[in-house]
Amino acid sequence: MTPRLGGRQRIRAEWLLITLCLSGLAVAATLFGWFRGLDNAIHDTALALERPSLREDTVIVAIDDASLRSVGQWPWRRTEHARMLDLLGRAGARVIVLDVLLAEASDPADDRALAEALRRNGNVVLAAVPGEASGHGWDARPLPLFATAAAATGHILTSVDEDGVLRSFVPEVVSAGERYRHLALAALARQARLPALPVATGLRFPLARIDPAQHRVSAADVLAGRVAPERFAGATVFIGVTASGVGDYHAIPAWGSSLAPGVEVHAAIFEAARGGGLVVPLPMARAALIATVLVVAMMSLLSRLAAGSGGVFVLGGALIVVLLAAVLLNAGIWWPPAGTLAALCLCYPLWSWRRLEAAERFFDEQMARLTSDWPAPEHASAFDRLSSRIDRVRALQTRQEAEHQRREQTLQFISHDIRAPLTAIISLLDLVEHDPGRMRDEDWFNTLNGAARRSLSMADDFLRLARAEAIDVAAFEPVDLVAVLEEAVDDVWPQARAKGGAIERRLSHEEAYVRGDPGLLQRVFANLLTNAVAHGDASAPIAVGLTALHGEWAVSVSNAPPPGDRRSAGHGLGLRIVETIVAGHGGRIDAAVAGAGVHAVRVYLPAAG
Amino acid sequence: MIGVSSLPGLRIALVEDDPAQRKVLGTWLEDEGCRVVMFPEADAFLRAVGRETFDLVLLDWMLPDLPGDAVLRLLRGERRFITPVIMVTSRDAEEDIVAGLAAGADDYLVKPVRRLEMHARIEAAMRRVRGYVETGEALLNGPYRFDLRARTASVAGVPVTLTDKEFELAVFLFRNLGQMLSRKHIMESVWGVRADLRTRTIDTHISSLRRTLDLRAENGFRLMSIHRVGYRLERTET
Repeated sequence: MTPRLGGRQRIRAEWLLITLCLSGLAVAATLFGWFRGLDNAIHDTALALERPSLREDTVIVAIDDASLRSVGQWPWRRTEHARMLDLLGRAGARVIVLDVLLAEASDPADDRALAEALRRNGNVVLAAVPGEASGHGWDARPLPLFATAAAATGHILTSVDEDGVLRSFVPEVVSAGERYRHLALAALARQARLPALPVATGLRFPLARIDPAQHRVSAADVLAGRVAPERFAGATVFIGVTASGVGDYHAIPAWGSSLAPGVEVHAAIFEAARGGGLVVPLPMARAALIATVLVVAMMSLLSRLAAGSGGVFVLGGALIVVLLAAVLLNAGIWWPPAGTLAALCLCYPLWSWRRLEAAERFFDEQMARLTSDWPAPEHASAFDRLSSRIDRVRALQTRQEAEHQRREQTLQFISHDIRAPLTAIISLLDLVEHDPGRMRDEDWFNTLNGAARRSLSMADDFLRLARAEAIDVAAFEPVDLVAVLEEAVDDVWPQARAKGGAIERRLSHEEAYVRGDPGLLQRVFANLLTNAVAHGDASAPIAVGLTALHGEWAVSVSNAPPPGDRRSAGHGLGLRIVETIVAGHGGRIDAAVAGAGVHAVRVYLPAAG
Repeated sequence: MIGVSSLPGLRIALVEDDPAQRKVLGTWLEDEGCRVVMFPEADAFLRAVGRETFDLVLLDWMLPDLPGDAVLRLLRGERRFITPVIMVTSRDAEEDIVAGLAAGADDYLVKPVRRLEMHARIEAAMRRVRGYVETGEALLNGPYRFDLRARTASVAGVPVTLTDKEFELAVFLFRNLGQMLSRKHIMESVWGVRADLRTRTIDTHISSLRRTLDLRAENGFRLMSIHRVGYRLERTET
């Protein structure tokens, strides 16, 4: 047999086990993105709440439907791009991001014109799709003619999540031995120091608010000179295709419409990088550490929680976890909270379940302890066990009520019976003090004596009852009823003699063994005999008889007032002592009429085997 | 019985904290011709024990400064005090009596103490100390007559047949009338030192004595068992 864990130790061990399991769940879910949908929802909502606005010095030149209508079909002649670059350069644009792939050669004269415009401007960043890094083998890098003429070339690769939504980009890729920064970062590098960023990790970014009226102009308007040149002075200009059917559109989280043209995504990344708003995902080990710490904290809190506040706990905990993720996001760190949230939702029911089990175990143990003297219930099914438990609680309740009634009786006894002789004594002493000579000395002495002795005998009986109630079956020994009865008669003999009577011993057996407490058993018969002497029919003899019955001994005390008779009550305790002791010995009492109205009380006790 | 008191001249220590009890017991003892030294607490008594000698001690079981069994253990242990001690308890709880006797009390009295009972207990305790001197060839008490030479017994002149051991047990009880006799004492005296009898043997012999000699209240005697301790044969107050 393995030693049983104590209740406290056991609940502590279970707490540890649950904490370990839930920490494991939270860590695994965090690392493997088991609840990515929830993570994304929290991520997107949190980022949507703190979107920066695109600054005014950023302009998007959209090659839109109107531009196609006025300039012509896509792709445009490269002279159009050259013209645009010249226009913008003259207007004083600081950096121009040309988000148009120039991977194939067109008319050589046109290409040359564009290359010259690029070189003339000197601040144009070109877009590239580096083949090896694109993941699908598509390679669309600017022709060397353009690449050498441009100020820089940046990649436009984005990472699309499983749900098809674009949330992150790679800051830097290497392809064919060349390093490409992301287009937006390449543009930023032209005018400012780049923040220190992990290069190979997908970075996340808030989507900057782009107001079409403020930030966007149509390429057609630019080419036609309808846009004031001041608009571009010192500005970073993103040129890209937005025309339907031609432009590259990406699914974007929570951005009014769910699709955004690539050029606006680049502008948003540019804004985020410039404003320090880029979000770095937390390294796995740290993400796991946060999840673990949170789970342990929640479980610790839970173990101190009052029952019934579980709902509040789970809601409050969830709120705190989500807020933590949002605050971290705001600080530029992405920690996916869904795994921890799942553990949080599980910890309350799990822990409650274990607690319920522990409570039930405790309940059963206590029940077993309280009902240890009851017969064991028959083996029953789980459902029946529940109903038998209920039955036992009911029985306990009944027992408690009986105890209550007994206590009431005891209180009644103390408040009335025990006080009565004492108050009599005091009244008597008062009388003697204030009115001497009113009573004869002998009279008041006898009254006083009687009252005092009654009082003492009650106190003794009270102790005896307490001892009878605390009867210890384990301490029982073989007791010869014959010897007990002989001594009980010897005990009461002087009283019988004083009343002029006698007690007849009809003990026809040499010995009669039962198991019990000899002192208490002697008390039973001495009490019954005292009762018979005091309240029995003075003209009839008192006799004690012993009879062997099947498996038990019957002792009869004739001429004893039967239980329930007012006369047998005495001060009420004597009989209760008798009943308590006999019941404690597994016996019973009854009364019979032994002819001529003379009663006999009979006590049955199981014979010792 | 009081008239032929065997107590005069005894020097008795009465250790009792209750003034009323002290007064009553002290008065009775002085009436018997004893010299009584009273102590209201254990401490004063223990200090006196070093300087004075007593023939017997009546020791209350519930003293304010030290419980009776602790007093007894001090006396019987460290001080090798051999004077008889009778403890006086306020309740007849078996555990008190067993504890008191284990601590070295010779006998006990239960409050309220009855005068005759006190007299008989002191007398029995003193008889044990002074030793019982057998005079004559027969032991006579009430209707009982034991012929020590012929080893025969009779009740009110009617001969009664007793076994050897029954006879010895009866004589032993009558010689120690009023004394509390422990089972061990009875066993060693009647069955011999190397006695490893079943405990029931004494009980069955006692029962059979009660039956054959009719040792009952009706004959003015009472063979009383002191549970877990032993037996006492005493005269009933008739």
